[in-house]
Amino acid sequence: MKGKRLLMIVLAGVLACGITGYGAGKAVGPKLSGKLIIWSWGAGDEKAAREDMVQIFQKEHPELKITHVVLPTADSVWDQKSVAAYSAGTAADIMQMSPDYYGMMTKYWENLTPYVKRDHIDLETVTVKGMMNGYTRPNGKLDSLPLLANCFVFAYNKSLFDKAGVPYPTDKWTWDDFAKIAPKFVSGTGVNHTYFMVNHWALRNFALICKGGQPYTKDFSKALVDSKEVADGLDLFGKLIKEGAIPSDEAQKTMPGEQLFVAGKAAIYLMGGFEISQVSREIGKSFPWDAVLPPKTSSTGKNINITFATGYAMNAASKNKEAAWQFLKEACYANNAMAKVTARIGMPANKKIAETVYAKTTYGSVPNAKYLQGMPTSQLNLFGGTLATAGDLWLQMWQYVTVGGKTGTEAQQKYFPLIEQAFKKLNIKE
Amino acid sequence: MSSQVIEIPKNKSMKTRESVSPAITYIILIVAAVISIFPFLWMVSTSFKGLSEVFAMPPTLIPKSPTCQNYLQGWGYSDFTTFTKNSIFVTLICTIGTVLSSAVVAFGFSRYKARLSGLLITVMLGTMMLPAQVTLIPQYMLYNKLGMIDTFWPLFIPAWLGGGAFNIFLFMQFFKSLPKELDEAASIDGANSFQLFIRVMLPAVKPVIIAVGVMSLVYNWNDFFTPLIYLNSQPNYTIAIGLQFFKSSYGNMQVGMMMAVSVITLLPVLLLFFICQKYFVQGIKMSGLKA
Amino acid sequence: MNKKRRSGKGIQDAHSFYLYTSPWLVGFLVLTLYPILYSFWLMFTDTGLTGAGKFNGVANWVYAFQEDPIFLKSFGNTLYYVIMFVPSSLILAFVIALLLNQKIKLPGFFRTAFYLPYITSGVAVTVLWGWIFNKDYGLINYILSLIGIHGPNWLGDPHMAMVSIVILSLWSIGNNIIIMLAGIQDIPPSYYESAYIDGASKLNCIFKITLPLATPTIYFNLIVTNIFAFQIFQQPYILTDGHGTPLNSTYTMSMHLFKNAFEYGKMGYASMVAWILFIVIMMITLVIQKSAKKWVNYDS
Repeated sequence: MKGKRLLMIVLAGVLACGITGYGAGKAVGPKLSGKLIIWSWGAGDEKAAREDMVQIFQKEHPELKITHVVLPTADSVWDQKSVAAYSAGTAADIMQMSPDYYGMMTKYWENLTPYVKRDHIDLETVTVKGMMNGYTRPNGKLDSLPLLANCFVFAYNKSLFDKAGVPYPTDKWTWDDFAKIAPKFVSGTGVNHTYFMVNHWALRNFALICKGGQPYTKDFSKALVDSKEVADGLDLFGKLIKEGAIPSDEAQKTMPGEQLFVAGKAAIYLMGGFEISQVSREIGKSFPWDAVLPPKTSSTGKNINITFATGYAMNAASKNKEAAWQFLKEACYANNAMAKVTARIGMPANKKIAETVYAKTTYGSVPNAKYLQGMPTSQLNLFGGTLATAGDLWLQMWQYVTVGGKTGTEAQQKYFPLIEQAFKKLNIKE
Repeated sequence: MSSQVIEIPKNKSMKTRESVSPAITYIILIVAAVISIFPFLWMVSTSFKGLSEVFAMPPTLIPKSPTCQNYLQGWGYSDFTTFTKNSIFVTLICTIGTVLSSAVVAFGFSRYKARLSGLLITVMLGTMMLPAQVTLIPQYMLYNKLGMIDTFWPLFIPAWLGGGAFNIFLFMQFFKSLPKELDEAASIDGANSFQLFIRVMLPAVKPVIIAVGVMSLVYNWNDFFTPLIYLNSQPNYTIAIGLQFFKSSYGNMQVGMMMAVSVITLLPVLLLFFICQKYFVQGIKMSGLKA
Repeated sequence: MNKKRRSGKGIQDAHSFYLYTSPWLVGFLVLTLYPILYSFWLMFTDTGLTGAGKFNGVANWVYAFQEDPIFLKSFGNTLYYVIMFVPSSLILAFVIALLLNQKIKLPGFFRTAFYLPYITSGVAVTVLWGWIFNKDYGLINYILSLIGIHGPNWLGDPHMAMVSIVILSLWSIGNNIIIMLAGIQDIPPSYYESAYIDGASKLNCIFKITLPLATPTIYFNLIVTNIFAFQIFQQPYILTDGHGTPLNSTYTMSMHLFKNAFEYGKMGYASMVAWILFIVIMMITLVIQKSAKKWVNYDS
């Protein structure tokens, strides 16, 4: 048993060396040594996966003295701690990050482009398609390497579809289909209220793009939430919430969304790749369920999706950059054993493992491959990091419609000038 | 001699007087106490429920199928044994530091006078008005320069340097109420001021020692932000940080386990308060308060 | 206070004063004064995350009052919270302390019961309150429904959300109650006895004796509660995932400060918000102090 594991580790190590070119005769890298501090975030399964992953790395590099810190993230715990650390210069050699920081913290991070060039790595071929989204700054600087990403599927309760007499959705359905069937699921009030779909904190991202809208231009120079498509998206969800097909943000706030779905009180759940294992465990055998891709935008016929991703950045002030680079590479693509651990909680950046181990893992009747299918047309979480000010204003727009009962156009009139202002203040060029 | 000073003003004769009819008193008190305790009972109840029952409707106060799983799993979910040890250690050192240093400082403020004493008292009380975030980052940088990040020192130091304006204030109120004759009697006996403080003053203010002790204990036990900012590695974490691990980055929560661990870690504090509550009230003195 | 008793003891007094207060003095100079001055400087800069920002005069102030879409809103919300919370908490604490001061059975139990929320104030209990307030599944509305009342959408209704936060805050005023109780117990019994001889009614005693003689305590509670109320952060932050929803109705100044510093990475601007908060608290404290001469009873 122990021998087998050792063999696997050795094999993985050999494989990693093969891919990166280390020890394979060409471009012998510098010998690693010294201390390496890594800061990750996570709780529960996520935390365990990070710890196991770093442990594998440590075993393969006994010459390094690794300190791994895993911090919780809820309630901005990570933000507060990392900001304090960055500003005092106590940040670790390797810091977890998210590409939806959109340039925030970038000045603390090493530019990885020269490393990639030096090692002749083609990131597009070793990582999953869509995975590299958002890691490169407009000036060409590579902020960090990805660790994993998660997008969404629409999980649905087959019993409730049967009861409503609605045929099961397919990957080809559109937001118009979605809106059309919604009223058929609504019944009861208060505790007995049955909803069409659970509200989810990611939903307001979907509302913005579902009708073909976009949040801003690709170079972040201008906000685009004044378009008719965006107003239509807001109106769609405003209507669904008003009709009781979706609970409002606050109606559901304190009742965990997945509990509504698990208890059979909502037919559809916007299920992220990060939560599918937990939610499917909770559903158990309560009801039959399946999942489809999010509906297509009717006007364009394109699938849409939202990605939440995370990676590791190298502290520009790190004193052990070669070791840090080695870790970044292995966490990203060059160590299959590490990627397998990461696959427990999301889609690993490592293309090979994502398309094999990860894709084949099935929850209920839903294979993770569904998430891989969603990646190519998926957009990074729209507002985070540098865009958080604008994101908070988008939340206001969303609530103006879904709580305040106003129309999308009215929301645009009130909030677009403010969002425009927020974008003017941005300095995202670097 | 010293204990007499304290017992003169209150309690015994007071309690024979009633200004509100007992029936109304009890009704209001019981209703209010139930509201007060209810969330805690709810927490205890939730800690014994399985996930499906946690969100069941109508809600059940007494779990239909009670389970100890939350306690067993919750404690092992993260290294709560270590966190508890750390919390006990930090709380003890900070509480001792707070009591001692706030007593010493208050003794200085209330028994001695210097040219700046009036101003300094105002400034000291004024620090209560300062939002904690104002000082956070500069303090962090300072502790970093001293090489104290990821040690318990940033938690201990403020406790040992005065322990907070509120606590100093409580001690001052008490010292002020002690008669001047005490000092003079002591100085005639040939005691220096430090001996006066240790032998005469401290024994005379036992109730306020308990009050400040309990309050600072509760505060340090629950404190979340200071340990969060300064402690990096998990073997140094306290319970308040550990509880945060029950909330995932994506908003999901291990509710039952979180409640179970909260209950375990609250019980000792609760018990301590129950034992000390009588002295606690005696330790707070509001008379002679000046604007 | 110490009067100058003997000349010549003055110098020794000063020595002792600085000797005994030195722990606080050191702590104040290093851990408070220096950070205050530092953040005072930051307020006039465009500092991002690190302390290397450029001086930009009063630009932060202009931004706060003319452009920032939410600063004034957060200020209004905070004021609204303070106005609702401070008086109600003082009244509630006084009434409960008054009742605790009666001859009751199990005084220890009751005191512990009222202090308990203060002890249990943590992440877990705030999460719990989230459910208690839930519109459909919450405990409050469930109990209301039993007596035929259709409860409000507590945290979901922009008009009720801050009220819910106030209720949650009122729940944990154990410290205020204990301080009030101590103040009431400090009233010498002789006062009541003479009133009793005069034939004053029970209720009369409360308004004629207890209330006036407890004014120093009430005054102290007012100052401290007001200071902490202005800094309200944790309850709305955790209950709304840091957003101050719905429609920013629970978004407070402390949240704005926190978000600017740690989420938007604008330390300079955050310092200014902190300073405005500090100045507002200071001004209101001064007003309370000035008013004290009119209503606080120092006779005892």
